[in-house]
Amino acid sequence: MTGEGTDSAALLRRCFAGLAAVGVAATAVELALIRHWTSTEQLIPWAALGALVLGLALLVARPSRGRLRAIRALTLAVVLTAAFGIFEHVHANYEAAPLDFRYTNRWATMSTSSKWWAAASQSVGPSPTLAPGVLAQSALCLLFATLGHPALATPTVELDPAGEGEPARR
Amino acid sequence: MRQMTKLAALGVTGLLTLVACGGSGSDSPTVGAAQTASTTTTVAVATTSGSTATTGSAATTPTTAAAPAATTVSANNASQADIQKALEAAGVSNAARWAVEVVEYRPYPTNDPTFAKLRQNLAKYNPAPGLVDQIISALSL
Repeated sequence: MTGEGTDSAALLRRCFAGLAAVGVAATAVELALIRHWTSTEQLIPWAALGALVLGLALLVARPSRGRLRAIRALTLAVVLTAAFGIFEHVHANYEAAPLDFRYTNRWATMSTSSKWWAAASQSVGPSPTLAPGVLAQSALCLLFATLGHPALATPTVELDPAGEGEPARR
Repeated sequence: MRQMTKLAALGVTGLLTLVACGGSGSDSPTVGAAQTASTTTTVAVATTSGSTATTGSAATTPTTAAAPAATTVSANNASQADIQKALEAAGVSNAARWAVEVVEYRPYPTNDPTFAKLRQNLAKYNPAPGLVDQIISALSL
Protein backbone atom coordinates (compact mmCIF):
# COMPACT_ATOMS: atom_id res chain seq x y z
CA MET A 1 0.00 0.00 0.00
CA THR A 2 1.40 3.35 -0.94
CA GLY A 3 1.66 6.48 1.18
CA GLU A 4 1.01 4.77 4.53
CA GLY A 5 4.13 5.67 6.45
CA THR A 6 6.24 3.13 8.31
CA ASP A 7 4.95 3.30 11.88
CA SER A 8 3.28 0.54 13.83
CA ALA A 9 -0.17 1.88 12.90
CA ALA A 10 0.64 1.28 9.26
CA LEU A 11 1.73 -2.25 10.11
CA LEU A 12 -1.54 -2.88 11.94
CA ARG A 13 -3.53 -1.54 9.01
CA ARG A 14 -1.71 -3.94 6.70
CA CYS A 15 -2.42 -6.81 9.10
CA PHE A 16 -6.14 -5.96 9.12
CA ALA A 17 -6.15 -5.79 5.33
CA GLY A 18 -4.41 -9.18 5.25
CA LEU A 19 -6.99 -10.67 7.63
CA ALA A 20 -9.77 -9.31 5.47
CA ALA A 21 -8.20 -10.90 2.39
CA VAL A 22 -7.79 -14.25 4.14
CA GLY A 23 -11.40 -14.07 5.37
CA VAL A 24 -12.68 -13.36 1.88
CA ALA A 25 -10.70 -16.21 0.34
CA ALA A 26 -11.69 -18.72 3.03
CA THR A 27 -15.36 -17.74 2.84
CA ALA A 28 -15.33 -18.11 -0.93
CA VAL A 29 -13.88 -21.61 -0.62
CA GLU A 30 -16.43 -22.54 2.06
CA LEU A 31 -19.35 -21.25 -0.02
CA ALA A 32 -18.09 -23.11 -3.07
CA LEU A 33 -17.70 -26.36 -1.14
CA ILE A 34 -21.31 -26.28 0.05
CA ARG A 35 -22.50 -25.08 -3.40
CA HIS A 36 -24.07 -21.95 -1.98
CA TRP A 37 -25.73 -20.93 -5.25
CA THR A 38 -28.90 -22.98 -5.57
CA SER A 39 -31.25 -20.00 -5.11
CA THR A 40 -31.18 -16.25 -5.62
CA GLU A 41 -30.78 -15.58 -1.91
CA GLN A 42 -27.76 -17.83 -1.84
CA LEU A 43 -26.00 -15.53 -4.30
CA ILE A 44 -26.09 -12.60 -1.85
CA PRO A 45 -22.91 -13.56 0.04
CA TRP A 46 -21.09 -13.85 -3.30
CA ALA A 47 -22.05 -10.24 -4.02
CA ALA A 48 -20.81 -9.27 -0.57
CA LEU A 49 -17.51 -11.01 -1.25
CA GLY A 50 -17.25 -9.12 -4.54
CA ALA A 51 -17.74 -5.85 -2.65
CA LEU A 52 -14.99 -6.78 -0.21
CA VAL A 53 -12.63 -7.68 -3.05
CA LEU A 54 -13.37 -4.31 -4.63
CA GLY A 55 -12.71 -2.60 -1.31
CA LEU A 56 -9.41 -4.42 -0.88
CA ALA A 57 -8.39 -3.46 -4.41
CA LEU A 58 -9.20 0.19 -3.71
CA LEU A 59 -7.18 0.06 -0.51
CA VAL A 60 -4.14 -1.56 -2.07
CA ALA A 61 -4.07 0.49 -5.26
CA ARG A 62 -3.38 4.16 -4.57
CA PRO A 63 -5.79 4.93 -1.72
CA SER A 64 -7.22 8.43 -1.56
CA ARG A 65 -9.65 10.13 0.78
CA GLY A 66 -12.55 9.47 -1.57
CA ARG A 67 -11.59 5.85 -2.10
CA LEU A 68 -11.23 5.25 1.62
CA ARG A 69 -14.71 6.68 2.18
CA ALA A 70 -16.03 4.42 -0.56
CA ILE A 71 -14.37 1.46 1.17
CA ARG A 72 -16.07 2.38 4.43
CA ALA A 73 -19.43 2.57 2.69
CA LEU A 74 -18.82 -0.86 1.17
CA THR A 75 -17.91 -2.35 4.52
CA LEU A 76 -21.06 -0.93 6.09
CA ALA A 77 -23.12 -2.49 3.32
CA VAL A 78 -21.42 -5.86 3.86
CA VAL A 79 -22.04 -5.73 7.62
CA LEU A 80 -25.73 -5.11 6.93
CA THR A 81 -25.69 -7.97 4.42
CA ALA A 82 -24.19 -10.25 7.06
CA ALA A 83 -26.93 -9.29 9.50
CA PHE A 84 -29.52 -10.08 6.84
CA GLY A 85 -27.78 -13.39 6.19
CA ILE A 86 -28.03 -14.35 9.84
CA PHE A 87 -31.74 -13.54 9.80
CA GLU A 88 -32.20 -15.53 6.59
CA HIS A 89 -30.49 -18.57 8.09
CA VAL A 90 -32.66 -18.40 11.21
CA HIS A 91 -35.76 -17.95 9.05
CA ALA A 92 -34.77 -20.91 6.85
CA ASN A 93 -34.40 -23.08 9.94
CA TYR A 94 -37.78 -21.85 11.16
CA GLU A 95 -39.44 -22.76 7.86
CA ALA A 96 -37.75 -26.15 7.72
CA ALA A 97 -38.75 -27.13 11.24
CA PRO A 98 -41.89 -29.13 10.32
CA LEU A 99 -39.72 -31.37 8.12
CA ASP A 100 -37.74 -32.51 11.17
CA PHE A 101 -39.48 -35.59 12.47
CA ARG A 102 -38.75 -34.55 16.06
CA TYR A 103 -40.77 -31.36 15.56
CA THR A 104 -43.38 -32.38 12.97
CA ASN A 105 -46.10 -33.04 15.51
CA ARG A 106 -45.27 -30.52 18.23
CA TRP A 107 -44.11 -27.53 16.15
CA ALA A 108 -47.65 -26.15 15.87
CA THR A 109 -48.11 -26.31 19.63
CA MET A 110 -44.86 -24.53 20.52
CA SER A 111 -44.84 -20.87 21.53
CA THR A 112 -43.52 -18.31 19.06
CA SER A 113 -40.48 -17.56 21.20
CA SER A 114 -39.69 -21.27 21.54
CA LYS A 115 -39.90 -21.71 17.77
CA TRP A 116 -37.56 -18.82 17.05
CA TRP A 117 -35.16 -19.92 19.75
CA ALA A 118 -35.07 -23.44 18.30
CA ALA A 119 -34.38 -21.98 14.86
CA ALA A 120 -31.75 -19.51 16.10
CA SER A 121 -29.94 -22.07 18.23
CA GLN A 122 -30.04 -24.51 15.30
CA SER A 123 -31.88 -27.11 17.31
CA VAL A 124 -33.86 -27.44 14.11
CA GLY A 125 -33.00 -26.72 10.48
CA PRO A 126 -29.87 -27.18 8.38
CA SER A 127 -28.60 -23.59 8.17
CA PRO A 128 -25.65 -22.51 10.37
CA THR A 129 -27.19 -19.43 11.91
CA LEU A 130 -24.13 -17.33 12.70
CA ALA A 131 -21.96 -18.33 9.73
CA PRO A 132 -22.79 -15.15 7.75
CA GLY A 133 -21.07 -13.25 10.58
CA VAL A 134 -17.75 -14.08 8.95
CA LEU A 135 -18.68 -11.56 6.24
CA ALA A 136 -19.07 -8.89 8.91
CA GLN A 137 -15.74 -9.88 10.41
CA SER A 138 -13.94 -9.49 7.09
CA ALA A 139 -15.73 -6.20 6.46
CA LEU A 140 -14.74 -4.85 9.87
CA CYS A 141 -11.13 -5.88 9.25
CA LEU A 142 -11.23 -3.91 6.03
CA LEU A 143 -12.83 -0.96 7.84
CA PHE A 144 -10.13 -1.03 10.53
CA ALA A 145 -7.50 -1.05 7.78
CA THR A 146 -8.70 2.44 6.87
CA LEU A 147 -8.59 3.91 10.41
CA GLY A 148 -6.06 6.72 10.79
CA HIS A 149 -4.94 6.28 7.21
CA PRO A 150 -2.64 9.13 6.10
CA ALA A 151 -4.71 9.61 2.95
CA LEU A 152 -7.61 10.68 5.17
CA ALA A 153 -5.61 13.24 7.14
CA THR A 154 -3.70 14.97 4.37
CA PRO A 155 -5.67 15.96 1.32
CA THR A 156 -3.86 15.72 -1.97
CA VAL A 157 -2.28 19.04 -2.96
CA GLU A 158 -1.60 19.83 -6.57
CA LEU A 159 0.05 22.95 -7.86
CA ASP A 160 -1.82 24.95 -10.42
CA PRO A 161 -0.31 23.91 -13.78
CA ALA A 162 -0.14 27.56 -14.81
CA GLY A 163 1.87 28.36 -11.67
CA GLU A 164 -0.62 30.99 -10.51
CA GLY A 165 -2.98 31.33 -7.61
CA GLU A 166 -3.58 28.97 -4.64
CA PRO A 167 -2.69 25.28 -4.79
CA ALA A 168 -5.69 23.19 -5.75
CA ARG A 169 -6.95 20.94 -2.92
CA ARG A 170 -9.09 17.89 -3.48
CA MET B 1 -7.19 7.69 21.99
CA ARG B 2 -5.73 5.96 18.97
CA GLN B 3 -4.54 3.09 21.14
CA MET B 4 -8.06 2.70 22.53
CA THR B 5 -9.43 2.60 19.00
CA LYS B 6 -6.98 -0.11 18.01
CA LEU B 7 -7.72 -2.16 21.11
CA ALA B 8 -11.45 -1.87 20.48
CA ALA B 9 -10.93 -2.95 16.89
CA LEU B 10 -8.97 -6.01 17.95
CA GLY B 11 -11.60 -6.89 20.55
CA VAL B 12 -14.48 -6.75 18.10
CA THR B 13 -12.54 -8.83 15.58
CA GLY B 14 -11.78 -11.49 18.15
CA LEU B 15 -15.39 -11.63 19.29
CA LEU B 16 -16.67 -12.05 15.76
CA THR B 17 -14.15 -14.81 15.14
CA LEU B 18 -15.45 -16.71 18.15
CA VAL B 19 -19.04 -16.18 17.07
CA ALA B 20 -18.35 -17.39 13.55
CA CYS B 21 -16.58 -20.50 14.81
CA GLY B 22 -19.47 -21.24 17.16
CA GLY B 23 -21.96 -21.03 14.33
CA SER B 24 -20.22 -23.52 12.13
CA GLY B 25 -19.45 -25.81 15.04
CA SER B 26 -23.09 -26.28 15.90
CA ASP B 27 -23.68 -27.73 12.47
CA SER B 28 -22.19 -31.10 13.28
CA PRO B 29 -24.82 -32.49 15.67
CA THR B 30 -27.56 -31.91 13.13
CA VAL B 31 -25.68 -33.76 10.44
CA GLY B 32 -24.90 -36.54 12.86
CA ALA B 33 -28.52 -36.87 13.86
CA ALA B 34 -29.59 -36.93 10.24
CA GLN B 35 -27.07 -39.62 9.43
CA THR B 36 -28.30 -41.65 12.38
CA ALA B 37 -31.86 -41.36 11.16
CA SER B 38 -30.78 -42.43 7.70
CA THR B 39 -29.04 -45.49 9.10
CA THR B 40 -32.10 -46.39 11.15
CA THR B 41 -34.17 -46.16 8.02
CA THR B 42 -31.90 -48.55 6.22
CA VAL B 43 -32.11 -51.18 8.94
CA ALA B 44 -35.87 -50.86 9.24
CA VAL B 45 -36.37 -51.25 5.51
CA ALA B 46 -34.09 -54.27 5.39
CA THR B 47 -35.93 -55.89 8.27
CA THR B 48 -39.39 -55.39 6.88
CA SER B 49 -38.43 -56.77 3.52
CA GLY B 50 -38.45 -60.18 5.15
CA SER B 51 -35.79 -61.58 2.86
CA THR B 52 -32.95 -63.09 4.83
CA ALA B 53 -30.94 -63.78 1.71
CA THR B 54 -30.82 -60.14 0.65
CA THR B 55 -30.47 -58.44 4.04
CA GLY B 56 -26.79 -57.69 3.48
CA SER B 57 -27.23 -56.09 0.10
CA ALA B 58 -30.28 -54.16 1.28
CA ALA B 59 -28.22 -52.59 4.05
CA THR B 60 -25.72 -51.19 1.57
CA THR B 61 -28.21 -50.15 -1.10
CA PRO B 62 -31.31 -48.93 0.72
CA THR B 63 -32.97 -47.54 -2.40
CA THR B 64 -33.63 -50.96 -3.77
CA ALA B 65 -35.73 -51.84 -0.74
CA ALA B 66 -38.18 -48.94 -1.07
CA ALA B 67 -41.52 -49.84 -2.55
CA PRO B 68 -41.96 -47.97 -5.84
CA ALA B 69 -44.86 -45.55 -6.12
CA ALA B 70 -47.62 -46.13 -8.63
CA THR B 71 -46.51 -43.17 -10.75
CA THR B 72 -43.22 -41.37 -10.79
CA VAL B 73 -42.24 -37.93 -12.07
CA SER B 74 -38.89 -36.73 -13.31
CA ALA B 75 -36.84 -35.24 -10.50
CA ASN B 76 -34.92 -33.14 -13.02
CA ASN B 77 -37.67 -31.96 -15.36
CA ALA B 78 -41.07 -32.09 -13.64
CA SER B 79 -42.60 -28.91 -12.31
CA GLN B 80 -42.73 -28.31 -8.58
CA ALA B 81 -46.52 -28.74 -8.66
CA ASP B 82 -46.20 -32.11 -10.39
CA ILE B 83 -43.60 -33.26 -7.90
CA GLN B 84 -45.88 -32.18 -5.06
CA LYS B 85 -48.75 -34.20 -6.54
CA ALA B 86 -46.52 -37.24 -6.92
CA LEU B 87 -45.33 -36.93 -3.34
CA GLU B 88 -48.89 -36.57 -2.10
CA ALA B 89 -49.84 -39.67 -4.07
CA ALA B 90 -46.97 -41.50 -2.40
CA GLY B 91 -48.32 -40.49 1.01
CA VAL B 92 -45.58 -38.03 1.91
CA SER B 93 -46.60 -35.55 4.59
CA ASN B 94 -45.62 -31.89 4.03
CA ALA B 95 -45.45 -32.73 0.32
CA ALA B 96 -45.45 -29.09 -0.75
CA ARG B 97 -42.40 -28.28 1.36
CA TRP B 98 -40.51 -31.40 0.29
CA ALA B 99 -41.26 -30.60 -3.35
CA VAL B 100 -39.50 -27.26 -2.85
CA GLU B 101 -36.43 -29.08 -1.56
CA VAL B 102 -36.44 -31.56 -4.45
CA VAL B 103 -36.49 -28.70 -6.95
CA GLU B 104 -33.85 -26.71 -5.06
CA TYR B 105 -31.13 -29.33 -5.30
CA ARG B 106 -31.46 -29.98 -9.04
CA PRO B 107 -29.93 -31.22 -11.24
CA TYR B 108 -29.54 -34.85 -10.23
CA PRO B 109 -27.01 -37.03 -12.05
CA THR B 110 -28.77 -39.34 -14.48
CA ASN B 111 -26.18 -42.05 -13.82
CA ASP B 112 -27.08 -42.24 -10.12
CA PRO B 113 -30.33 -44.21 -9.71
CA THR B 114 -29.83 -44.22 -5.91
CA PHE B 115 -30.42 -40.44 -5.78
CA ALA B 116 -27.39 -40.09 -3.52
CA LYS B 117 -27.27 -36.33 -4.02
CA LEU B 118 -30.91 -35.87 -3.06
CA ARG B 119 -30.57 -38.24 -0.12
CA GLN B 120 -27.59 -36.30 1.18
CA ASN B 121 -29.39 -32.98 0.96
CA LEU B 122 -32.70 -34.17 2.39
CA ALA B 123 -30.92 -35.81 5.33
CA LYS B 124 -29.92 -32.34 6.54
CA TYR B 125 -33.55 -31.74 7.46
CA ASN B 126 -33.65 -34.73 9.79
CA PRO B 127 -36.69 -36.37 8.17
CA ALA B 128 -38.59 -39.24 9.72
CA PRO B 129 -37.14 -42.71 9.16
CA GLY B 130 -38.26 -44.07 5.80
CA LEU B 131 -39.49 -40.71 4.52
CA VAL B 132 -36.58 -40.16 2.13
CA ASP B 133 -37.19 -43.57 0.58
CA GLN B 134 -40.86 -42.64 0.30
CA ILE B 135 -39.98 -39.39 -1.49
CA ILE B 136 -37.55 -41.06 -3.86
CA SER B 137 -40.04 -43.78 -4.68
CA ALA B 138 -42.13 -41.05 -6.34
CA LEU B 139 -39.25 -39.77 -8.46
CA SER B 140 -37.42 -40.92 -11.56
CA LEU B 141 -34.43 -39.68 -13.52
